[in-house]
Amino acid sequence: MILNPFGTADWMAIAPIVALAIASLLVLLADLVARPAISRYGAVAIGLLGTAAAAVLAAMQYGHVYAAFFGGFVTGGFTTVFEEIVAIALAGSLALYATLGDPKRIGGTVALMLWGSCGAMLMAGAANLMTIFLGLELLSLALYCLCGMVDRRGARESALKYLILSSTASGFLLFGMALLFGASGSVLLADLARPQLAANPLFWMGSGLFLIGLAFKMSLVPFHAWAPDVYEGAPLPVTAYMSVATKAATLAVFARVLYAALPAGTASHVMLPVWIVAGISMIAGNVGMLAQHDLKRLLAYSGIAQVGYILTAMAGGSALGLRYAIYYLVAYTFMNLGAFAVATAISGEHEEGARLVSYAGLARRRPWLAAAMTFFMLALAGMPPTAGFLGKILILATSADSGYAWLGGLLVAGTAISLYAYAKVVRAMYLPQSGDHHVADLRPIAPLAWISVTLCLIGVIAMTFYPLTPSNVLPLLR
Amino acid sequence: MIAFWIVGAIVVASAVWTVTARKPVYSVVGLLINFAALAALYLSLSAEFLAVIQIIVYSGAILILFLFVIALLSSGVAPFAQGPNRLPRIVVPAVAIVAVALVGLVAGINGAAILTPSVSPSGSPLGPVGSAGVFGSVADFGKALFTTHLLPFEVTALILMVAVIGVVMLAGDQTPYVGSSKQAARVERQAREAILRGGDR
Amino acid sequence: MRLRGDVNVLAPIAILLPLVAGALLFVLPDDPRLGKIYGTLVAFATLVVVLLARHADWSVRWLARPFTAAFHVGPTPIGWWLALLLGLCTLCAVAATNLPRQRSFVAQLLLLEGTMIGLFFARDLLLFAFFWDAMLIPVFFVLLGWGSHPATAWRYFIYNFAGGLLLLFATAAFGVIYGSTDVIGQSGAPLIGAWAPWIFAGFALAFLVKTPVWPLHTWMPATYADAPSPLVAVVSAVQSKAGLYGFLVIGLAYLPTYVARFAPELVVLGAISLLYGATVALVQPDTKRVVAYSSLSHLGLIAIAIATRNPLALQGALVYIVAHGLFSTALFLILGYVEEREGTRSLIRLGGLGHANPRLTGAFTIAALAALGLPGLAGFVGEIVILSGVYQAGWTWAVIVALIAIVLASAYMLRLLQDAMNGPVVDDLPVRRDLTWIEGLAVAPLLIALLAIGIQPHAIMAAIAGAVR
Repeated sequence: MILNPFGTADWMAIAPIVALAIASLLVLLADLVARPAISRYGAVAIGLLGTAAAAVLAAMQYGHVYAAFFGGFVTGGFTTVFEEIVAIALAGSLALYATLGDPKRIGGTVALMLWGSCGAMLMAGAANLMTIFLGLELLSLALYCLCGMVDRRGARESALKYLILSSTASGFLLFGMALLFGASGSVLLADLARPQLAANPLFWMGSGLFLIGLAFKMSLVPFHAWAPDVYEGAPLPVTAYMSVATKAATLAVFARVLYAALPAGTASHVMLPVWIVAGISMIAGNVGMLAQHDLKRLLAYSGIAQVGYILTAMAGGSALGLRYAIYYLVAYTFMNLGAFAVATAISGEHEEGARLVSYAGLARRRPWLAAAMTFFMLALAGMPPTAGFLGKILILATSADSGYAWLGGLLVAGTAISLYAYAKVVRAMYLPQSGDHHVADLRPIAPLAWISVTLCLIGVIAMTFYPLTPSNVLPLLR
Repeated sequence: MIAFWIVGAIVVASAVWTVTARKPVYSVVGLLINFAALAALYLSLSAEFLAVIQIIVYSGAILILFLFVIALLSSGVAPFAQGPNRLPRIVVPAVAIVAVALVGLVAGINGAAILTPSVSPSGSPLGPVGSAGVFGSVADFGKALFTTHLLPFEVTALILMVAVIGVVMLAGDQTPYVGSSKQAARVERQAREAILRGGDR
Repeated sequence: MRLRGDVNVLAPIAILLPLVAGALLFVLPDDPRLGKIYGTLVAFATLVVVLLARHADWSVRWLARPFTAAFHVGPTPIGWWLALLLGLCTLCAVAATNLPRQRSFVAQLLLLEGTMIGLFFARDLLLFAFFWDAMLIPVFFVLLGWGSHPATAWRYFIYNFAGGLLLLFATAAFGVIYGSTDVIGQSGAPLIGAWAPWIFAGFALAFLVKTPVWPLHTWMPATYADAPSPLVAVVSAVQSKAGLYGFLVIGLAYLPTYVARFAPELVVLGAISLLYGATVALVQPDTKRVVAYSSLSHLGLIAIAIATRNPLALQGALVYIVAHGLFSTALFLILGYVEEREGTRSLIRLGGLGHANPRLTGAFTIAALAALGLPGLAGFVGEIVILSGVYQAGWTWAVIVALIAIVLASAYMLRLLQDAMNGPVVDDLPVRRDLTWIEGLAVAPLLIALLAIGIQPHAIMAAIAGAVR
């Protein structure tokens, strides 16, 4: 019997995750010994350092396809890209937390965020049903706690809602996985691609339940109802984190299943319901956005639609489609984090800058923030000169190329609807402030939030002119 | 096969009861039935080790914990205060559980004459659980846990950690935040003044 | 790309100069005089750069997959004329600006100029779509900030953005099928395939919304009436030509068979716009709306000319595009002066301005006469060439409709002149001050150009004949 079947390569594969886990332990330790006044920035600083370390370690694996832990975790271009997206989301939200977070709980919160990111990164590289599920649970569990982490009624409600609905989704996912395991006799995704499975009814039922679970986590339309409520109740930095990290991680799992773990020829049938649901999401999400008066709810509905856009890119199952999906996801990360960073920068001591009325007259009071927010809204709407524009055209091109032009058409229709909602935010900022909704306590300039606004803005604009897409995201399994 | 369906029905029914029961204690009882029936299902799959673990850890430890919590939380609240009159209504389900659990356990451990394995993996002989090479054996289980599935195993450690920290954070102290000793002194002074004023806010 | 002695680099400079200068203006101190002087200087410099950039051609790779695309800028011959027109109109509009929060307004005008030069300089279809959407943003902000009804801003934005999305989808499909979007102004093979009609439909709808052509015009009168005159001048003179330009460089060049197949429909739409615009202009009490509907009518005529694909008609269309740009800018700027002074645009209230404001009236008269097609002014040259071309192409009934519309044009333009400028002096109108020096200087180049083209049509016809080919 081999006592230690794992080599350095195996441990290096999960090095980014280990880095985050260690960082979070350090955060907790520091929180214990440091004085409260310095622990606030100390925790965030350690968290950011850990994130940077994880990002560097993940980047070092770019292009090295290696199946670690008996195929439980696969490194390579794809994993690296998604790990980096998670790292960006984490760094951005940590920066916001330093500005806005409840100082009493900052240590635990930062630690939970780091652990949640461990789960998200695990999902990015998971190539086995068990790793997928455990990564998802790790992420979700951290998020349940993070949602309830402020002393507000809405927060606890949001946490409970998220817990119950998300557990239901996990139940679907788990049952689907059990059936898939029953059909294939293996937990490895690679074994799901065996052609004889196509004739097995267990496989069809299992993949159906599995996809329902994923659709739930991606907040696609029939399973989207939790997103606006949970986003609204959670603290702003958590909302920012949740909106990007869960989507990225779940999309990573989805893409791996779509591209690597389906028997040949079944993809178009198994996934057809997903494409239909994505199409409905693009319309319903954008329509739902129209009636919102809260930035977090608005961006929740926006996220529902944006996932639809990303899925549109993948619909053909082509390698290029995957690259454009990733391109758009990265762009979306920047836009969303940027918008939330602006919201954080204008939050008062007692009220988050989430309601649209608190944006009235922002162009006068904080012209730079207003300008940045304008760019983020333009990007979400897909207007030039932002990455949203180029991302949309790449997605449209892919959809036309791969025979899913009807999804492209729905994308166009959805975008046309969404414009009004995004422009509403812009309009609120540029119209003169109305008397009754005066926001008196504009917080003094918060350096970290402003830095993330700037970085996100640079990202959103630079990606238009230098459209880098990762070239070696495939193969997803070995 | 018939046993599978019976046990399956019990699992589902008890789960429904757990959710719908109005009193927390009934919910726990429902959960207990559920766990026991689940253990019986494990037995029918020749996963004896898992079945025993299920009984010991879940039915034994976790449910007792639940009961303690419920007892502590609701002591003095109606159902308990009403006295023993209401007790007989628990008797029927209680007897049912005990009976089912006993039958399941005895049948399972005795070699499953009535509970034939519904999924019988080919080429894995049934036999004593303790030895390696037998399906569902402790040795194989342990080996798999620390080799093939080491990563998931380690991740569960993280998950437990998150749960612990998360609960501490959520339940955390409700006192107002004090950033410095000066601030702390002020808060304390304010509190003292409030008490002196006789305000019981 | 060497900077010294390289004319090619002028193309990106022509785009970036107003964009960067406009963005910079937001940072400069908020002083109305400074904004205006700065803006005028930048607009003048841009005009000079555009003038020099006639043969510039500059390219950097953008995308390699799923189709090749490049930041390829350099004017097409037609695009150069339009950019020149834009430069002149923006210069005049900036010089004529007199608004609250002037600095920001001038900045938006410069941003608009930059995006539109980008549109006319784009040699890549993707870049074209990029600037097509981008040029909506400054107009939207101006409508929000300076317009009288926010609803107008929404209507403008949503109509045009929907059009822009169709353009985007069509561009994506075009790129996928054609393999490259680096096509504008090059002699490539026409697009074929099962997708081609849909792509044509996408482009055509986007272009028709932008022009606009009846029945997609409903955003236009409200926008023209609500927005400040300098902006309307630029939008009506040049932005509305973007759709027509698109028809010329994309429709005619890459989808000629579909333009031919749908020519009857396009001519009918153009003819309806022509008559409908003229008729509504005849009864509008609002001065700016009169000119707005007259624009609808004139653009309908140009749309007809392009749909016939007759070389002579196309030549006339180009002359008329320039002429219409000049006289509509002049009309809107002068009506802006009137509104500024008298506080109203209503023809019922206005009257007798001519007595106290001879210079204003004179300038307005020249512009109005050009608009109604008086021989000797630029409008006539374009109209007569278009009509000959359309007749040559066999669309006799369209020529007759156009002639009716031209008669109506005389009627509404003279009505405008008569009601506002002539007649008895209305006593209770507030200020009566003639054009100031600067105001006069702002419209003078437009009027001189109208006269020059009218008197010497051969020069511009010769220059434009080359562009059409």
